[in-house]
Amino acid sequence: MIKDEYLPLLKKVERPGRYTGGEYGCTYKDKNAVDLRMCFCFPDTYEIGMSNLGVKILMHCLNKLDYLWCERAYAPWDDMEKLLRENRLPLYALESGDPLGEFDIIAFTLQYELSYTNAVNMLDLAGIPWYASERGEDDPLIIGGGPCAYNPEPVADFFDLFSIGEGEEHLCEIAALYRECRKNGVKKADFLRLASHIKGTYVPSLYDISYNEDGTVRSITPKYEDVPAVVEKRIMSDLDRSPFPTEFEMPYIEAVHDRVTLEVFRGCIRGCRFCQAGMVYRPYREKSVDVLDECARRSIAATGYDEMSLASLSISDYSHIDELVDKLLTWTEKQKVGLSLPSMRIDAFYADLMKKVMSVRKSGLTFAPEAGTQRLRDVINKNVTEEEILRSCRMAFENGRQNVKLYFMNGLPTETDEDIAGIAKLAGSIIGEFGGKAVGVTVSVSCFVPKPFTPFQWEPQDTVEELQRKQQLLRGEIRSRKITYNYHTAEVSHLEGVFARGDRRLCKAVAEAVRRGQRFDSWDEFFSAENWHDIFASVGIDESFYANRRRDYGEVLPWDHISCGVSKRFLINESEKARRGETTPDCRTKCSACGANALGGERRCCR
Amino acid sequence: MLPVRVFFKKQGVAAYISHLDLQRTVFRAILRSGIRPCYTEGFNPHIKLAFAVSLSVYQESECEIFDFFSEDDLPYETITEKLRSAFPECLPVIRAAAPVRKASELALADYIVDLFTPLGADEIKAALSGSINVVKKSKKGDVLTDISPLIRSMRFEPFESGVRLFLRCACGSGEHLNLRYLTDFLGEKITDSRIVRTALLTADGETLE
Ligand code: SF4
Repeated sequence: MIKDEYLPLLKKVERPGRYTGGEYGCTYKDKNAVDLRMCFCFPDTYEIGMSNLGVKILMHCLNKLDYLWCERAYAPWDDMEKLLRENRLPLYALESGDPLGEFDIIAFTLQYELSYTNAVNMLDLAGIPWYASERGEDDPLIIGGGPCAYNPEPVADFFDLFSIGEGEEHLCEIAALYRECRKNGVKKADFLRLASHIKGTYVPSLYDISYNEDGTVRSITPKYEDVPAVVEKRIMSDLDRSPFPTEFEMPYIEAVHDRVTLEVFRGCIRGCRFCQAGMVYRPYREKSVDVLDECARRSIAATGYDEMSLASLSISDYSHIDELVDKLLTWTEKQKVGLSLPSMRIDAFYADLMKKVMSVRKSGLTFAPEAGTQRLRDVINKNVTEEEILRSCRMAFENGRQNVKLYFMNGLPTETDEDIAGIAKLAGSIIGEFGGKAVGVTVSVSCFVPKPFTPFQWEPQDTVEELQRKQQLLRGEIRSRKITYNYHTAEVSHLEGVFARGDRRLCKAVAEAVRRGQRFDSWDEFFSAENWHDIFASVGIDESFYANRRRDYGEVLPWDHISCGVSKRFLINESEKARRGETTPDCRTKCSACGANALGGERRCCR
Repeated sequence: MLPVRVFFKKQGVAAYISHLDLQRTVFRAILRSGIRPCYTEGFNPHIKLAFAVSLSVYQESECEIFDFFSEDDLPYETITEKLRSAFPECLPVIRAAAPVRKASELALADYIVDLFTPLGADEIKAALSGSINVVKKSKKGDVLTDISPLIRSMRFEPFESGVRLFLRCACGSGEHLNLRYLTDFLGEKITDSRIVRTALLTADGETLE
């Protein structure tokens, strides 16, 4: 719990419940009786961090170790940051209230690029040196993980090591080794060398990066022979046997996802070419219906939530979705627990399932056609037809929905103005088809950001000007008042684009941004395109080199020494097919030999 | 259907949560306890539960009350046990029992208010004698209201960091005083305050059981 000396600050901040700790379900241990103290840091607000199931799972795994106590910390909002600095009080962990600097290990989950500044700022607020090279034997070990760790280079200098892939086992192995090394007086550098032998560990300081004259990477080489040239990600091979929390910290204030999240499977069978999650979480692995039912019951009993969402990438692809929903409904209805199924795929969407779920609670219906024309949908391998979209909308409206929300992207490779007009046309034909009724369509358009480990990792991102032109073009094409149109800020996507495919030289931009007070870049109230242009200019970084440049297949990519299991050959092949407008079947229909099968895994569909 | 009155404290870090957050926390704690609560009818059923009175953020209490109904006819000791284990540490359940008086009979509350101030008890007493005009926000806009008629008794005592105020005032669905107005009124005279509700009473001065 928060310590007394911090209490006077709480009356001066917005939502003090973010900073108190003392929630029901926290894990407490005797700090003098454990060998290792660890803090899991989420570099965004408490409300967002507390919604993250991954953090809960990992904390559960770590706290099962009797020699380790793992606590939590979140990025303080700027009002709290100001007070902490004014009062010279360091950032603390919510369970013990102890300053982060006193911990042995600090682990950050890096969910999105725009939280990088928050992560470094949290180190600063804790009084911990930012750079791994500046930290001594007594400073905490700083670990990074999460989806952004697949290309950790833009923040590589700040971390001692990265955990690549699913961390349940990996983090425990790292903790065990660290404990052993500390006991035997092994120096941090030697520990890191040993850690690099554990599969899934990337220690940035153990690699030399050299650059070509044109600024591209020439080579990434391990400094020693025993350090792996390529770090392969970790996966949990059997999800039925994967640890699942039995207790949950229950926020006093409302979290963003204030409900039980049930992870049904990992990975995705679809292979949309823009989607990083769909590639890096391969192979697709399922939990069985019985295990899911058990997890669901336990979670509801342990939390008292009256809402549960089945969260996975494309939920209707679950091979036993009907059985699962029926089984859950046998008790959720009685217990007045609402079920929601987000991210439905249009083609697999069917009336029965929708009716079942709708009988419990009305939740918004969203579909993601992603592109406005069939041609472009083929390019991105979003295998959905206009007919299917219309049919799904009909079902939604006939079942009493008044509004559907459609997600699209601007700036996809090969996109033309015709494709953009296609978005308006598609929304228009939905209105046309059901125009008699009081229905509405919300069109939400984000900007495409090319991501590592996707078939589009070589593609140039559209410039901010081009994205803005396309956004205005679409505005002009939308004629019906029943269509609500919103779109993302192009500059934000641009910044994401710079970091997503960045290399180690971007660390200095992150550091400079933190120095200049950039925080919470994914929040409108803090994002500043101007500031960022200044920051990049001041450290000599050419943004377009990272965001808007087409790469050759032969170029050494900054993340080439990391492997998510999907082969480069497969990605090149997919990229070529995209250019030809050819689609690739989903993993269940036909395996396309992406390479992820070599990682193993139960209840998957690899050949 | 068993009527249940729950007496609980709001202390420590719970002082920093709003009434809305408290409500949500209590709903979830009941569901965690394994007691099956009764729900309202209708399309969107929710747990039939009523707090005797709300308590603002930054205020603590030794005597909060809410009423709900259990589907099952359990002994009150069992209900108490189940609730205790499901509530967070800073919202300890004192006991669950059958309601004696109606919650609507609530009319008064006692408070201990620690005023952190360099001033003496006499100076604070002087500041609070006569009318206490505060600005209340209402739908019609801000109105200047004298809250002194809502105060039934006040006693002042010095303590190491300032002045301790023992206060009885109107509380409930009829007349009600939120002590925030009192501390706001003192403004610069105090550096901080700690407000603890110590009793909920009926009009005749009996503890609401
Ligand atoms: S190996 Fe085949 S089935 Fe498995 S993930 Fe790759 S493409 Fe899909």
